[in-house]
Amino acid sequence: MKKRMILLTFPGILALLLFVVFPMVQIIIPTLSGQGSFGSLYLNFLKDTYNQRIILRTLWISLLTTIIVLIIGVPLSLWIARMHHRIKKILILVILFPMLTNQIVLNFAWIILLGKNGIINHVLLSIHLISRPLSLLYNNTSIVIGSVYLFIPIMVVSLLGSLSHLNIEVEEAATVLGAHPSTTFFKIILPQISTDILTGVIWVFSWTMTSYTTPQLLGGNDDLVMSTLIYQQAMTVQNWTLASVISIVLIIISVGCILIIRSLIKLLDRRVAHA
Amino acid sequence: MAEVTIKNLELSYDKKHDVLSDLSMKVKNGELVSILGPSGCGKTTTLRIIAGLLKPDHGNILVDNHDIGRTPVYKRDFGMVFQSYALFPHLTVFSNVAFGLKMRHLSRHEIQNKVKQVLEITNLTNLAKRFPSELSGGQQQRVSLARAIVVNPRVLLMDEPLSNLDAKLRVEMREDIRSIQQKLHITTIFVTHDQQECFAISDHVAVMNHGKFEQIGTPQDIYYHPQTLFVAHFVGYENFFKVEKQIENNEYQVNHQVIHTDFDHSYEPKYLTIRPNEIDLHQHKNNQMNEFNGKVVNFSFLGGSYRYMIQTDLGLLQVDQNDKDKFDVNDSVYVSLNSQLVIPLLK
Repeated sequence: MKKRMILLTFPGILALLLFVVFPMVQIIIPTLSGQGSFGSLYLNFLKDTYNQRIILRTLWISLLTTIIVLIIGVPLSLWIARMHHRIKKILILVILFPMLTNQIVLNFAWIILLGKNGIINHVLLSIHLISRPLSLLYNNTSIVIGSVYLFIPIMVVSLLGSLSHLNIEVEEAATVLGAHPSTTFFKIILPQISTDILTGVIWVFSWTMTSYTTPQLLGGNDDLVMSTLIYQQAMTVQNWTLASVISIVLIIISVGCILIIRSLIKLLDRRVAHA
Repeated sequence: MAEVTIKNLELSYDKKHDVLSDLSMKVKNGELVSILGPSGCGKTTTLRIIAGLLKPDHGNILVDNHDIGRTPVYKRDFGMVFQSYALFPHLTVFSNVAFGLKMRHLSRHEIQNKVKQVLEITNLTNLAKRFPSELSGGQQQRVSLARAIVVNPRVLLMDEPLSNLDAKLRVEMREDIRSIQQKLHITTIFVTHDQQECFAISDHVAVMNHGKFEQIGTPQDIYYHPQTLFVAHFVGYENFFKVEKQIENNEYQVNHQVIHTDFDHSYEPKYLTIRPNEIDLHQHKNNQMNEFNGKVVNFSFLGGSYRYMIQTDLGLLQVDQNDKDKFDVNDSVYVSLNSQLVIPLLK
C-alpha cells in the first residue's frame, strides 16, 4: 500500500525535480564560487550601498503596497460580502476585471492617467488646484499606485470566501454586549479572518517584491527595484551570474519577510484568544 | 433588572405585508415571559427589535418607562442568547464570557472574579481555557448563557436557545435556565416554538401568529382557557364546533345540535372546542348532557391510549380513550362532552 502511494507521487516528484529544483540548483551553483572565495559574490553585492538602497526601496514599496491593499481590500471585501447575492456577483466581476486584462495594458492605462500631460494633472490644472503639473509618474509613487491596483483583486478574492461565511449573529452578540461597531470590526471580525488576511498579505507582498512589469513601466530609470535590477544585469550588462545572485537574495528576503509576517499574526492571534 | 413594555410595534418589510402588527406587551421586573409561536410567525423578529438589531416602522419599547427606541444596541445594556449561540470562535470560553465586562471597562481583577463566579454557576469552570469549537452543543449553550448574564443585563433576551439540543439535554437546560433566571432575578424574554418548554419555565406566555399576539396569559391560562382557534389548536385542542347561534345563556347550536358549556365567559363565542381526552366514550346511552350518538370510523394506537375518529351529528370527532374499553370500527358508541371542559372561543 505504502509502496504504491510512493509510486503514485512519482510523476509529481519528477515534475518538481525537473522544473523547480533543477533550475534552482543551476542558478545557485555558479553564484557560490565565482571569482574569489565561497559566497564572496553575495557579500560584494550586499556591501554595495547602491544595491542596499535598491533592496530597501523594494522592501519599502512592497510593504507600502501591502498596507494600502489591506486598508482598501478588507473593508471592500466586507462590503461586497454583505451585499445581496445578485449585486455581489456583479461587484465581484467588476473587482476581478483587471485580472482578465494584460498587465502591460493596465500599466499603460496608468501612464495615460498619471503622466505630465495625463488626465489627473489636466484636471487638477484646469480647476486651478495646482499651478504646475505634478510628477506622478516614473517614481516610487507610481509603482505603488500600479501595484495596489493590480493586487487589490487578489486580497479581495482571498478574503471574500471566509467573510461570506461569517456568522452575523456573532457580530450582533458583540454589539449587544456593548461593543461599538468599530470595536466589533477590530476585535471580532478581523481576528476571525486573520488566516485569510495572512494569505492575502503573503500573496500581495511576495508578488510586489518580485513583479517586474509594473516597476519597469511605471518606475523611473534611477529608481530600480530588485526585479528590474535583475533584468538590467542579465539583459543589458549580460552578467548572468550577478543576476542569479540578486535572484537568490530576492528569494531569501521574500521568504524571510513572509515568515516574519506569519509569526507576527500568529502571535497576535494567540494573545487575542487568551486575553 | 427592569420592566419592559412594548407598545404597538409594527413592521413590514415591503410596506405591503405586515410582518408584525400592533404588538403590545408588558414584562414585569424579574419575570420570564415567553413568546410562543410556529416558525415564521415573527417571534424572532420581535426579539431582534427589542434588542435593537432591527428597527420597527412604528411603536415604542420602554425599559423602566424610558423609551429606548433611539438608544443604539451597544448602549442598551441587554444580554442576548442566540439560536446559533454565536460564540466568538477565536476566543476561549473565559474570554468569551469576559468580553462584555471588558466593553464595560471593568478592572482586570473584577473581570477575573465575575467570570469565575458565572463559570461556576453555569458549571463551566474546567472548560475556561477551551475554544468554542472544542465544546459540545450543551456546553456552547451554557457559555452563551454565561456570556449574557455575566454583565448583569437589564433584560435577558433568548432566541430559541434550546432548539439545537437533543431532547434530554433540552429538558435539563431549561431547568437550569429557569433556576439561574430566578436566582439572579433577571427580566427575561424567551422565544420558542416548543409549547412544553415554554410552559415549563414561563411566568407568562404570549402566543404569536402571523405577527400578532393571539393571547397573553399564564401557562395555565393558555393551556386551559385558550381564547382563539389558533391558540386552542396550538395547545392540543382537536375538536372545533362552529357556533350557529346562541340558544340560551350557556347553550349554543352547532350543526343543528345543542352543546351546553359551563365554562364561565362573557363574550360571544364563534367556536366551541374540547380536547380529545376530555370526551367520554361509552357503549350505552347514559342520558347525560352533551351526549351524542356516533360510529367509530377508525382508530390508531398512541401509546397508552387509542385515538378514535367518531362520526357524530356534530361532525367527525377525535376522542382519546385508554385501552380499558376497546371499540372496533363501525361500533355504535355514545360520546359525552363534559360541559365544564367545553371552551368557548372568541375567534
